[in-house]
Amino acid sequence: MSSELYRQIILDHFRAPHHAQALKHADIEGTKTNESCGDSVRVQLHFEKDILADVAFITGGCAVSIAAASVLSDMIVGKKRSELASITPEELLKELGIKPAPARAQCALLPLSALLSALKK
Amino acid sequence: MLDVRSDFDVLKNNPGLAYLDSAASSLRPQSVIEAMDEYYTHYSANVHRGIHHLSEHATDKFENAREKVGAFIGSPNPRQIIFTRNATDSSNIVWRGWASKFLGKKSRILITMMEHHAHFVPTLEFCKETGAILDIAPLTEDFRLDESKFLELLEKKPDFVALIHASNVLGTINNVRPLIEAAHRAGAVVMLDMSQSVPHLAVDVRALDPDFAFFSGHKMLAPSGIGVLWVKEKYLEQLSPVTYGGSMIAQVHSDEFALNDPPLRYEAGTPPIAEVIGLGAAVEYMAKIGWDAFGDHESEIIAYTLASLKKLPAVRIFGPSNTKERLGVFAFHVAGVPAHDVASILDEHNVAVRAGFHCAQPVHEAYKAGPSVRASTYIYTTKTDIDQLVVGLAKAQQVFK
Repeated sequence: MSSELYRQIILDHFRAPHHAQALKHADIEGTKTNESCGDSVRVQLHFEKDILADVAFITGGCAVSIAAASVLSDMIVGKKRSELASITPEELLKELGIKPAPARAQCALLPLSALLSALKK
Repeated sequence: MLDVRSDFDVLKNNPGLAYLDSAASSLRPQSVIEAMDEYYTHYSANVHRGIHHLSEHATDKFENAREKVGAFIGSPNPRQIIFTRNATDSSNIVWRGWASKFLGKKSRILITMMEHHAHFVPTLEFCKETGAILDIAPLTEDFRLDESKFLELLEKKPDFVALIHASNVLGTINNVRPLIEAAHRAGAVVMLDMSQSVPHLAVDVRALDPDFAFFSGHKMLAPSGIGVLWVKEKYLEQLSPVTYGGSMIAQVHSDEFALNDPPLRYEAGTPPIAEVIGLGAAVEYMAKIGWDAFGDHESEIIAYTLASLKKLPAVRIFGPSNTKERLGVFAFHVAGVPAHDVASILDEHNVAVRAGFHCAQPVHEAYKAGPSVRASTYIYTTKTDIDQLVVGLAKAQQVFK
């Protein structure tokens, strides 16, 4: 069964999301919710010196936002704190391999927006 | 079954579309669009002020729409029809223009867990601002208002009751007449949200007897940007305007002004003239079909949709699963597929539904339910549309298998 939005990568990450378990020691946290659909993403970050050692995205929502959180987590672990803030929506969508319509792009970008708001704390 | 699809150019322009999102906004028949076009192309002048014949014609059409809308809901007098932006605007006008004067810290307010955010949010805000006490009537396991709990809460003598006529999520139609009667006996003033009922049911404000009532045009074949607030005669003078300016005054001097009479008192500034005329045309269109034909069509579609959804084991309907006292509004969950993903896959199959909380998050939380998918039907809905929904739902399950 083929679907433009629901490529294998989305389905795989949805079924077994990476970094989806809450951290025992988080240095900073952030939460974002999408009013229109009720999705919410909580992100926890744990740094060792300046490097992101571990991350958790606790996501209650659709497959697109869960998969996006999972893919994003793989993109950022091991990066410097200063590099995290410069991740763009385009980079994340490219990594996910989808070009969603604006309403669904919000779902895909919710984890990134949670990350960016946590970094501002 | 009704066959009105040729009245809707939007359906011709979207071949193959199963539009099942009418509870969010209905489609509009050509007669409504033409009535608005005619205003712009033949007499597009301002109302209530011009001496020239174009303005007089526009005013006639505008006030004629008020009369039609009033007659449509059984208003004793057209002046009880106040044109607003939408249902939410209407609700806010009552909270700001009436409740703020007559209710306060010691007041008690009763609402139900079924309310749309148009009732819920202004109520919460008012209680937060004033310290008024809020009671919320719970719902039953079979997705209906717990009437006995509602009546019990009336024993606490609320001053104000805000009640929804029909749920925009569950589809449940509340038997509001005895509830309003009981609320009045308890001494409460009652506001009724008729946003989902007026588009689908013969509603008579004299019989139901609310003190304030409201609905939106865009859910009943009329344009967006126009809503109605109906006010019982007794409260027409008690209400204060919440917007001041042109039209709503009788005279203005540099140091004082006098208010115009209702309803213009509550319609400051130039109103949405074409939209009011469009609402009048929508009401005329509905009246021409007649409630019997309307009801027969909707009942058949409701029964067919319930039967079709029940055949899908993964689908759990979030609302009454029988046809009794319910609208063609079907919120549901699909096992293993989040609501937004269901809606996206349905969209890929040309089926338009809504996903999320549908501006009624508390009712979801009351049942510990996550976001739902909502398919909603109207007079142009066919069994083919429902079949297409069923095929789309099967595909959603296949994708997520």
